[in-house]
Amino acid sequence: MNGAFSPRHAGFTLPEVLVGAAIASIVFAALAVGAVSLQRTFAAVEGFGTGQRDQMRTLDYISRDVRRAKSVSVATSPAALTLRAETYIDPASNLPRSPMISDGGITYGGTTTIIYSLSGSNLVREEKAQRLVVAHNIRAFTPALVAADSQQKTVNVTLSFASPMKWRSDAPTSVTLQATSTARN
Amino acid sequence: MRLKTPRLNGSALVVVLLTIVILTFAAGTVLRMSGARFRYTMQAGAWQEAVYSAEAGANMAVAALRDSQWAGWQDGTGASVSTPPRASSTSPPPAADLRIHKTLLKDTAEPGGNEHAVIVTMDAPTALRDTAGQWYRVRATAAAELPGSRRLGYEPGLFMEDGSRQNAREKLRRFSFFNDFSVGLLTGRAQAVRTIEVIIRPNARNPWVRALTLRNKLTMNGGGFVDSFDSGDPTKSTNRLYDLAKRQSNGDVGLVNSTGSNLNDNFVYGDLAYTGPDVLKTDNVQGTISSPFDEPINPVLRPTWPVINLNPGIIDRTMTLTGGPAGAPARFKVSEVKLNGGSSLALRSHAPGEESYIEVWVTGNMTTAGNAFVEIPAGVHVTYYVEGDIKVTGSTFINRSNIASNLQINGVSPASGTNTMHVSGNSDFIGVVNAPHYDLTITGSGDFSGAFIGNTAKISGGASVHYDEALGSVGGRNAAAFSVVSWVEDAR
Repeated sequence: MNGAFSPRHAGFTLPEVLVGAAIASIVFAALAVGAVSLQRTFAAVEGFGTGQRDQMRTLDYISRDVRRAKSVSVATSPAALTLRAETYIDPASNLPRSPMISDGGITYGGTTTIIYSLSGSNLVREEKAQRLVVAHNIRAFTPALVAADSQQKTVNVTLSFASPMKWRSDAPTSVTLQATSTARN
Repeated sequence: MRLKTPRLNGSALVVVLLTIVILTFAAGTVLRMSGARFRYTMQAGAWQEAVYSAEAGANMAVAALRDSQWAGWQDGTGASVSTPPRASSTSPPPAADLRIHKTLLKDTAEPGGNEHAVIVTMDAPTALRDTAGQWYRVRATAAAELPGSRRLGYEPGLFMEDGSRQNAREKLRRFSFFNDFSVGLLTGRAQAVRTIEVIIRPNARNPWVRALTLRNKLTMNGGGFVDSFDSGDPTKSTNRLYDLAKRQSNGDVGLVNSTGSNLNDNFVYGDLAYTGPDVLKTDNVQGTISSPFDEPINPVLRPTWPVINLNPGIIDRTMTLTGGPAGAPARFKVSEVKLNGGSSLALRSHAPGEESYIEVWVTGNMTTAGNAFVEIPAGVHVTYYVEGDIKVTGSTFINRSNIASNLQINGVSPASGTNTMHVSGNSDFIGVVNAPHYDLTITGSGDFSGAFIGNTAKISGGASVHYDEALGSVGGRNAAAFSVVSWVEDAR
């Protein structure tokens, strides 16, 4: 009676194995394709997320600095945005300085210069010799004064970020955005 | 005999559970990452909104100064205020009673949903005062509620170019997730806080808002009076001229220092405001009498023209000066104006039918006598800046337009002491005089129509002063407009 439990009876026939192998191959191939696609999608979303974060941060930095600037100037080659602002916070005490009247305007006793420029593919904000990388993967940085503002205190900034969809031949090579800020002073 | 159940019969359940776990981890990862990015966007938006709320607070301070909208403003003790803060010599924060503030809270029912709070403080540093008056420092701190959980969005640290790491929170937005460090109105809520400081300057005021504005005493004798008319309103004037039958009662008088002033019961059809001892014999002041009178009177400065016509050099005989358009007035610098006998000065337009502007800077005295006269045709606007004494007699100024603002005489304030201006004769003078360091004497029976700013005034001989109410709209009636001249953000 032991023959009823013989291992030989638990195996598969050759056709069963072949069919199973074929099905398994299809399943694993589908999983592989899906995984690669998922990975690419994830990378794209990650890239867009990073790009969006960098864009918002960059424009927030620039708009904050332009608002408080007393003068705005741009250079085209190499592209640079130069802002001159009052040194409102005393670096020694880290407290606000007192305003004083000067030439019909206000001074806080000193000015600071802030420069935005490209360094390779990084957008760098330089103030007091400190160079902070505020965005990566920049393809183009184009600041321009708005002609309609006769006082030359309105600046339009165009930033082009490298597209995260690098494997798609039909994908845009970059993502471009613009923002306009006006100096309040 | 019963067969054994194969050991692998439960593998399907294990596979299903494993699949669920894997999918759960995958979904959790996706949700965590997308949530972090969503939070980043919302938090950045709230940070941007905060500065707009702060600017709204600063604008309310401007409105309060400009239009006296003091509802909701309080001093440091919590008492309501209805005037700008008094001058303070201390740096922020000034003493409680020298600083006023107002708080604003945005209704969450409005579009956007997240709550905003703004606190605005205003003070008046003594260092911020010039000839235009007191400037004001306004600090507006706004907090915008951060939506979502109390966690930072997708915000990896930043790097300096040399590779050293910087924390993005410390460099830019600096959210507060658990503590309300500044405003105190969004306690317990995550928030973005931004503070701006603006400096508000008073604009140049329209000085022609009353008949007589004097730095020192006023003396009236001889039955003359002060009243008003409106050259721009036919019901209050005739052919733009003063008409006794259409007299108005806005001939106001303001005295910064009333010491020695005596009206001798002459009539003043307007209000009298003064600072100092009581003005004597004011029984016939028809308006209100009040004290103090604290209005800054700006000195008249010597012109600083980039282009000056040095011919004719001196005006001492009959001659003609031709004006220019408003954007390029003809400017002449002469050492003296001295017209005698029948000589005259004719002022002409640069183009027929067009408004024309002439400015004459006299570095010495201006004197006319006899039948000498200065003719100002309609459409010509002439402004004099005189550094020496002024003495005009007879029918010196013939203002054909009958518009007082078309003839302006500015007495340049000397480095020390005062100069004199003497007007006599029997003809009317139609114009305005801004000579805060000149002692004015009006004698004779000729009237003065316009407005006068001076050091002292002595009106005798029956001469009267008629304030032209149309002057109140020259350059805008609002005498206390303000402008924002500085905008900085506290980016600590």
